[in-house]
Formats: sequence, structure tokens, C-alpha cells
Amino acid sequence: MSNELRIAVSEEKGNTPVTIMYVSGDLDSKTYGDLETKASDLIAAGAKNILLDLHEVHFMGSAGLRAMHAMSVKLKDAGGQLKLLNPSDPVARVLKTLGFDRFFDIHATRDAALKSF
Amino acid sequence: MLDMSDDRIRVKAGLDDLSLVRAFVERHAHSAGLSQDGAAELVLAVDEAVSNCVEHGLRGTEGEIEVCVVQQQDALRVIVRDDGALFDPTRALTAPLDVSPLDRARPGGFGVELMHRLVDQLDYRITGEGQNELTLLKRRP
Repeated sequence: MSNELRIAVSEEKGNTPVTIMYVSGDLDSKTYGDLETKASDLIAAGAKNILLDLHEVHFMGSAGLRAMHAMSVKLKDAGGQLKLLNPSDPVARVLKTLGFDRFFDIHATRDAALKSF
Repeated sequence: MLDMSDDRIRVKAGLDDLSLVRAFVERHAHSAGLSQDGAAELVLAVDEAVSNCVEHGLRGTEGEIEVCVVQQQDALRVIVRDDGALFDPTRALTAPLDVSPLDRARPGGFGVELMHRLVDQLDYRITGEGQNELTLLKRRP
């Protein structure tokens, strides 16, 4: 059944500030726009580095990948980066099937991800 | 959702019922004996097929999408029919994945590519009533 998409945000201050987006629920053709919009708002407000925590995503289709792609391009243009944290099996399936696991910077732990920025 | 029977679900041309279609296919994939991964792959491929119908052929229309399942001896066959603009996803251009897709402006074709990679057979035909009919076949291990 449907798992509503939820997005929570926190900020990590440090030498390199990182915005963490915690995504949970279904990231499909219906909901991917919410992720894109939220990310665009954060980028417009000054976020340059975003860590996308994906361990609670229950379903992801190619639309979710389109949203991540758009985020990655916008952050690159802003001089920043998108990195992924702990993708759930449904997310990993899409990334691996399309070979995107080779192109995204993916981390298993939050600490390692934050240090990598 | 418009209606559902044991082997068929019919939904309006919108994205609200995508999760119902996924649950329907998942239930049949498990009862057909597909592996956990095989079932998840089929669910994902059917989600892409239905999303394609809604986002392309049926955009802004009052059309309907019908998803039927047929159990075979060694596989599960899922048939997706819609009455939107004729579109053959088996001949659609897919995204080139040999260069970093993150360097391209706005890629498309991921959904079609996923379908091709996740099922064992993908067939398209136009029905006698002029509908799109896409058949996805996933074999048991």
C-alpha cells in the first residue's frame, strides 16, 4: 500500500556545512516532484552540499532517479555536491540496474559521508 | 481505483493508484513463486509501464489503465492496457548509460531502460480495439 513520502531536514555545521535530507516512504512518479521542490528551496536558500539519507525509502522508481539527477546538476552548478547515504534495497536496485551506483558518491554511514564533503 | 478482481485491476489515468497497482502485482508475484528479488523487479517494471501510460499516452485525459496477470508454468505474465495515444515503449529510445548521466542536462528514458533490464520479455502490440498493450514476462528462477 501507499507509503506517503516524508522529507525531514537537518543542518550539519562544520568546515563544510552539509544539509541532510531524510527521505522516507514511496519515491515514485507521483511524489518525486516533492523531493525536487524541497531540494530546490534548500538550494535557493544557500545549501551547497546535500546528503540524501535514503534508508527508509520503501519504493523507488526511475522518477526518483530523475529527482536525484536534477538535484545533482543544480548543486554542481552552485559549486556543491549531492551524496547519498545508505540507500534502501529498492533504491539500490534502481541505482545498480541503471549503473548509477558508479556515478553517485554513496556512503554507508553518516560519519563517513559527512567527512567526505 | 475503478475495480479489481482476482487477476485484474483497473485504475483511472492518474498517479494516485500507482501504489495499489504495485501491491496487486506484488501479491501475484509472490503467489506465482517468484523470488523476493524477482517480485520486486517485476513490481518496479510494471510501475514504470503504468507511469509511462499516465505521463505520456494518457496525459490530461480521462482514460483508464487495466493490469492483468496470467500465471504460466514457469513465469508470471503481466499485461498493461491503456487507451491513450499509441506508444511502443519497446522501440523507444533509452538513456545512453555509457557516459556519466550526471553530466547530462535532463535525461529521460530511464523507465524504459529499467523495464528492459528487469523483465525477461517485453512485448508491445496494438489491440483490435486500438489500445496499447504491453506484456511483461518474468520467469521463475
